[in-house]
Amino acid sequence: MEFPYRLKQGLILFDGAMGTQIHDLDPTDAEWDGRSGCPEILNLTIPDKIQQIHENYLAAGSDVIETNTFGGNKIVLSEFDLGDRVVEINRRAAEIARRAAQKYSIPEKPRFVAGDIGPGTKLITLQQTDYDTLYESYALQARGLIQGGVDMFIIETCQDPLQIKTALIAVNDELKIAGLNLPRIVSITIETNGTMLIGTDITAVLAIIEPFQVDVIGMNCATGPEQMRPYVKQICQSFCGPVLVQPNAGLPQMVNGEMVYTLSIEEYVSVLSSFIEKYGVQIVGGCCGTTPEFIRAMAAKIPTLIKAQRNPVLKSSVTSVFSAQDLHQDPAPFFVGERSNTNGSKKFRECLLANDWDCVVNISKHQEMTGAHGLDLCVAYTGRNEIQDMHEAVTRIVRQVNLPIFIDSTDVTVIETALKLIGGRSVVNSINLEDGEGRSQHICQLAKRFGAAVIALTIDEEGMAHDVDKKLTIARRIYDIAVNQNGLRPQDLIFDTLTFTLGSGDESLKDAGKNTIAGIKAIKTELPGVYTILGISNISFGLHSGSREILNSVFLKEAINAGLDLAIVNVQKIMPLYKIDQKDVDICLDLIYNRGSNALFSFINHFDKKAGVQKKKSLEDDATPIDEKIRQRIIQGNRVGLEIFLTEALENAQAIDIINNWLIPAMKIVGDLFGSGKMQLPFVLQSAEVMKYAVGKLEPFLDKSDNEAETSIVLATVRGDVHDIGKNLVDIILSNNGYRVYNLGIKCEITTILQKATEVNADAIGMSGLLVKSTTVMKENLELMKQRNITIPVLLGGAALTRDFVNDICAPISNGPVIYCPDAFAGLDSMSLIKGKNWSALKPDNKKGQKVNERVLSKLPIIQQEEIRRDIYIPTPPFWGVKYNTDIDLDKVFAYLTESVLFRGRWGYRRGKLTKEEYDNLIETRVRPEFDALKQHCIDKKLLIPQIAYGYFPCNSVGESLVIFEPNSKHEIERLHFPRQKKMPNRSIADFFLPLNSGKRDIIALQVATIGHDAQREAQRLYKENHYKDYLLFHGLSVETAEALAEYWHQQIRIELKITEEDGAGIDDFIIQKYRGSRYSFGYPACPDLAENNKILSLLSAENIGVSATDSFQMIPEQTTSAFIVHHPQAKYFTLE
Amino acid sequence: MEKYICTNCGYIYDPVLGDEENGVSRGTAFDNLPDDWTCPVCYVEKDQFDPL
Repeated sequence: MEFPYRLKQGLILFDGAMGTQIHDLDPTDAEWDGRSGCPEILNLTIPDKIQQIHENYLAAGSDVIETNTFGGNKIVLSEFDLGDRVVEINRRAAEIARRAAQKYSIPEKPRFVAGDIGPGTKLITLQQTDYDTLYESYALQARGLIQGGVDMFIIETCQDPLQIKTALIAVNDELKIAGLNLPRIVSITIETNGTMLIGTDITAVLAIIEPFQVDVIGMNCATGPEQMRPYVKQICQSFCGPVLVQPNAGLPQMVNGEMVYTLSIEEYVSVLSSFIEKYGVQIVGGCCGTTPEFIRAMAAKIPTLIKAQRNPVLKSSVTSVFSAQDLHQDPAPFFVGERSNTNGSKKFRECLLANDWDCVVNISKHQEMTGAHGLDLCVAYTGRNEIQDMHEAVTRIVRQVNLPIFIDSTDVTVIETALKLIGGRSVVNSINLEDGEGRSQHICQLAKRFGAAVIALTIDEEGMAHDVDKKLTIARRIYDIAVNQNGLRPQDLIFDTLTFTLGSGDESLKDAGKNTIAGIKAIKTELPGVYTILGISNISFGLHSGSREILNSVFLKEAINAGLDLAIVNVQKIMPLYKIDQKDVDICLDLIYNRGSNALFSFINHFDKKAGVQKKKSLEDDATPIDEKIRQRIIQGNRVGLEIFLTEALENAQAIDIINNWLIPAMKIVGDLFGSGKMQLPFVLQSAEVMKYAVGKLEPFLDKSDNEAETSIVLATVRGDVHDIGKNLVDIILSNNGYRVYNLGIKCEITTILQKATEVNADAIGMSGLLVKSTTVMKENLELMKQRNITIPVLLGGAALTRDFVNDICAPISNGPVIYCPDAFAGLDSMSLIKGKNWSALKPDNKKGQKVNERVLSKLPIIQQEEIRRDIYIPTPPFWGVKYNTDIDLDKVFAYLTESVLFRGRWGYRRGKLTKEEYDNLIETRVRPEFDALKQHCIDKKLLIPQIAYGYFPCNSVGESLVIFEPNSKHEIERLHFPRQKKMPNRSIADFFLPLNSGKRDIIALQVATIGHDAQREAQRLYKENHYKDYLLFHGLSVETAEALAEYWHQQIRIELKITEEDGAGIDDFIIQKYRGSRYSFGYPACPDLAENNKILSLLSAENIGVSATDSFQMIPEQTTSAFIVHHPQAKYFTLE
Repeated sequence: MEKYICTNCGYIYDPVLGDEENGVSRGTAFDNLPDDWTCPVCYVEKDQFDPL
């Protein structure tokens, strides 16, 4: 029986791990042939033992065994000096498996051999190898496996989509040479963070593989089966063919220096069974850590399982290497950015000619930010090497810009170069029949080979098609070449019915708009399944710029109504129709559909009149002097018209004077407004953004010498601390007030800071940190500076610092000035003193003489001695052990946000000196709309992904420790330590739990809540791209959302424990603990030891939701909280000191 | 007398109630709190409070 036939006949069982079995064989040095760590050599040295492993799996019930060739490609084998024996080794491995399968094959249970192809050791998208090398490496392996007689291929543990494509192309070619048509399986590996190693998400990788029409898609390795569930579900919902799952035996854990897999056979069988019965998985097996026992248990279970019916739907998408975009957007259209094009943007052309690749990437990134769904990339320029330019541009763009690429070239070699570099699914732009069919044939073959889509222009040997019939006729011809002759599918084709200008007055083009739109309709009707695209702005070529945007926008809307899917446009210049006067729309429609006696004349006439009116309006602004206009723009944070004002100003003033005399004083006013409580932080950042923009515009006019005299500061978050928002705000304010800032980032050792300060001859050092521990680090840093006799002024800032601590503890250590900066503007004031060398003013003011310790000691709360009651009821949890929830509605979480903290604390919209009415008005008109829009943006773009790990554990106290037991056993698995209060009533959190000698178990709930890594990435992006205000708002919302999620889940846990009946009313009560079941986090006063946090993470295996800890016990991503919940009604917060 | 909110944790200081656990009697206006008074929930200083 052949495998494709078997695929139609029910569930199929693969084998388990090979590596683990070989490890157990413990081959001798001789057997390794001096190549320890190369399991493939064992196919030659101990074929019988390898065959025995296969037979063990067959005996256990495997239908399919995989050859021992995971690392059998040329690149890996070359590392063991076996690069010239690739075919032989793979052939031998296949023969061994073949013999084993033959031995066990009976008609009722045929056995098969899958030729195993692993990922190798080089990531091609990271350019650790190149396409041609990797292709050869796989081709040789595939050839050997075919010679050895495999029944199918499994390309597994895939980590990089370009690696998958290369392997598939190599396998396809070898099969074609051998005249065979064997099934091909692709099995991908999704890491704990929810993407492939290279960052590709599951939707994208499916879209990338789909055009290759592989027979089976599945998943293996990396995590345990439970962690695979959401992705398995998604593959089952999207891929039409059979789905395969081969999990590890749980997540690997380090025990006594060895990796072990801890999942029990029962759990393994139970999860795989649920994949079959719930999602319709057809093929199962095992990866790392699984053994014949796992397979035997699964084989026993399979006859009792019924595979769920599936109704998969896969939309046709194109992708970057990271994520996918549907070709049909809802609402349409799919916007293709036109500015990364030597013909579309002067700036892009200039960057290319200067070989300024960063600028090329930035223009491309900018399009991503402004709403493009895809990126048209054209680097053709007469006299330059287009192949080389495409290589330079693509290698950078694929890694830095999250947009599918439209490879825009007329040169087949250039197109192939790009396809060999792009991991995502791209579009080739374009083919036509201008010079006959040859080139189109060639490009269609390439597109088929690499799984790309193709844009086809309706042009033939006679030229561009103007009328509808001709457009359709050419489209049919191209369809025939692409689909019938070269195996592309209708959904791989995107037709362009060509746009001609309506602005020329040319008699023959009067119906061009109408025909283009009718052409779209005709092609969509006659050639079902294909897509359509138009370059929009051609329609208005030659017309006045103001009217062009309106005509373009109306034309686009008409085309969409006719069925247009994609549009090549400058996205920023498209207006929504509701913003255009109905009269303007009507005039445009008359021109597009050639209605009336002279539509073009009416059009020009109408918009000329309008432009006259608008000009008059703008003249009124002119009475204000230019310097005042520029100042106002900075203070208002408004960049409209600023570039024109600056150009005007440069006629009479030097750039450096504009900066020093107008811009910086304007920022000073902003600072004063902030200091007096009249301006809120987000508006300050908006002004800083405009400042940055203005300075950027003036930069080309600055002399080099203008920069030399700058006062500079080295800025860093100190060792062990990852929080950088405060430090970054300081950077923003200082660098936009004329200071040179060297921002070293987070977790900086003092030696790094000092080294940089020496290198750049800095005038000051700024240290920042949010943690209490960071205040100690700052102190230690100052001590080291004193030892080395470094007296450079130091600015200290951060949430845990106080003025007293800095003045009384820190300042005396140093021989130089040490200054407390409660906010960024205090930093600015200090820098101006440093600039003026005003050392006396930098001395700390000692008006408050109290030492920190005294202050804390004097604040002894008066708490009555209170017995801890032992007669309370101990809740029963709904389950013991750990559960994960990654399917949480963000809207539900948002409901738990504490708005006042977000608005006033995180965002800095403080009432300050405003009246209550003014403040409420600010909140309702400015802040809440921003808040609502940002929440929606986070939902739409999936920037915040709520994830929870939580669990219930039996426990008992022993003194100041809490012993945590394995559920349903006496086995201790962890011990938490809770220091005792030094004052009355000498409490320890452990006291709230039943002591061990009570003979009765108590219960503790643990939780870790995160909103994922993307939030961190997005915040970094906004900061790097100088969106200061958005950075502040997004970062604040992300951190508060993590808090809200913790609050939400805290509530869930209390509901699950049934202890909510004692609650006060409303969420505000959570803050003052009017409820049973307090939530504590390590690092807070009652339990300050952050190191204990790692125990919670490990008890909950928090790595399953992508959470880890740094060596200073902080959680990554930053937007993560961990906590334990104490159900005892008397458990409230307290301080130890 | 005006209430003040802690911008770090959301605790509201109500002068009518004072903060008796920490030695602040009922009827103490926010401005009259001792300089070393901190938020009873999250321990940030007075300058982190904002009029409600």
